[in-house]
Amino acid sequence: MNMLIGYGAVALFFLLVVAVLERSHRRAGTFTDYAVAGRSFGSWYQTMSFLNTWLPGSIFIAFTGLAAGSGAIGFYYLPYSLLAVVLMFFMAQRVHDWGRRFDLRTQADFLGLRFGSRRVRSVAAVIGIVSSFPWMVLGLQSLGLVFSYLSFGNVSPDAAILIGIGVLAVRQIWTVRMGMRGVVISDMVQGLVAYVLGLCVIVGLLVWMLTNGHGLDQVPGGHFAIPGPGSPVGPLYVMSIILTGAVGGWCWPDIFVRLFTARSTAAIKKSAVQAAPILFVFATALTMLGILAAGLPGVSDAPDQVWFITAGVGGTALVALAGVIVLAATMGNVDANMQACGAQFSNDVLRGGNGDGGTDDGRETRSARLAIVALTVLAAAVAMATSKDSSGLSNLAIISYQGICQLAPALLLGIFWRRGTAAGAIGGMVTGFAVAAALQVAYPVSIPWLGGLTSGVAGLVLNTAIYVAAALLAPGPDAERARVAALFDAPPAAGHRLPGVRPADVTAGP
Amino acid sequence: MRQTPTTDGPTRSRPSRRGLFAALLVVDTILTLFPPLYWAAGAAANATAALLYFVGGGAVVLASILVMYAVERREEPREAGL
Repeated sequence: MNMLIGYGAVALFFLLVVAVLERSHRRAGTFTDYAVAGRSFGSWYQTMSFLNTWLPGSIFIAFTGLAAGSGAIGFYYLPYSLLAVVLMFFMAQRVHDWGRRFDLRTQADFLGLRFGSRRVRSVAAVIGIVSSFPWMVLGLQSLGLVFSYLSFGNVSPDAAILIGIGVLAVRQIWTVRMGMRGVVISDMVQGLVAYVLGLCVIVGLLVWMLTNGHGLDQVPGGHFAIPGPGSPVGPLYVMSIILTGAVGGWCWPDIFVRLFTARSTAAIKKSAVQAAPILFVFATALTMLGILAAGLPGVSDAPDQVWFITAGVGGTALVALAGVIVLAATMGNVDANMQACGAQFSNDVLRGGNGDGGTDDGRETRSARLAIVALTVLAAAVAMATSKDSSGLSNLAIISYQGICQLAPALLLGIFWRRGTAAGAIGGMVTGFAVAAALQVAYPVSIPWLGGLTSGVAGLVLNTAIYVAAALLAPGPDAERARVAALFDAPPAAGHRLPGVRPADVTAGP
Repeated sequence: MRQTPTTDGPTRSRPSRRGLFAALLVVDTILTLFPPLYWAAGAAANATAALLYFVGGGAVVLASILVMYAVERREEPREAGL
């Protein structure tokens, strides 16, 4: 009976999402429709879409587990998430304007335009897809704990992982069919369940704990230590993980493309101001829940299960609801990742390197759909093959995070500083990625001889130095500088660019 | 400070929008990334200091986002809808 309630709740939620998607289904007319939903969404859709991509299901599992196991350091995603929203506020105008004016559809497309280089576009696309793939696999596997808990002991952990992979793989049918419009619309439903209903559950559990003897005074004192000088990870470790989270967040293709799906810059800025308080309250409450729950029986042995252990105080129904909340958060992240990478593969890898800057909407949409299908099948196959031991994959995912943030200098300096060049961008990205990956293998947590910097930040320092040095020492030909100046100095775009008039020179150059 | 002439009274001064936003960004960056701040909070190893650093710092960043939006909204037209 318990399993029926648990799996029944998941089935009901799945049907709700599918029903909403089917009711809102509209055939994508152009590739811009498919890749960025025709730049049509207002601020609330943008808000939920950003949250559903930014806060995956692992927030309830790994991040809350970190708070339960290690204490206040679990809060670290709060400052980096809010800093990322600040960056969103600053980036919105230029990214959205250039996106609308030049009909840009992906992050790599944006970089290709900024540096007038197909090579920058291709390198950025490949780094984005390669770095995202381990997260797609982990996203598919992450529901194992959900289906294991919701079976109430009737399904083995291995079988639960396979069920989770199957559910999310089936969910991708609608991602393939509907593209970004489907992703954003479902993000509204999933976001309401994950973060609004989720917050209600968190607050209820906090009240229960505070009124049942699980206050702050019961938390071990060591849980409030923040690693500093003399700590095993080094004095600069906390700064490194916050910095990597804030600047690295915008390097993920599925996050960056949120700046293209909005109908205006004003909608993006409004979504930032709507998302920030939700993020603040939600992250604070959930992390506090993890810290307070540290003393509950079973949590210290399995901190990653703190969300379900705590929900257990409310009985079967609350555990089922907790599972649906994690599922909602996970779905939003996985489908956004699949869609963004599929669009990037079609737009920037297949077509980015062939010298054809024109457009063929039908062919691009078909190839993006095929790419999403291929990514789903490949990710599901790898997820199943590694379901019994995904530790290697987890390490790869951590390495990929240190790698993806190497797009940051080209992306952020490229937006705000007109002096960067393609050579500097490619040199910085490739060197930074290689250095970060090598250091990550040698120093998985932090680098002692760099005061606790993480591999990603060490790579970023070198990457930025190369980018800036190239910009100052080899500023490029006059024609390229004039093109970039015109790009920066143009007044904000107004109205939609018609499909099919995507300029042929969007990524002209080498 | 920039002198901004107005038509309805004597010249008054107000910080430029760009200057204000840059100042807020600097404050946010220092609060969240400047190591001595979290070293001090971590050295205390108590709930108040840790929460003040993470939640208090987060609240300041949140406030800066709200201020930036409010300042911009005063100068630009609003739009409605989801």
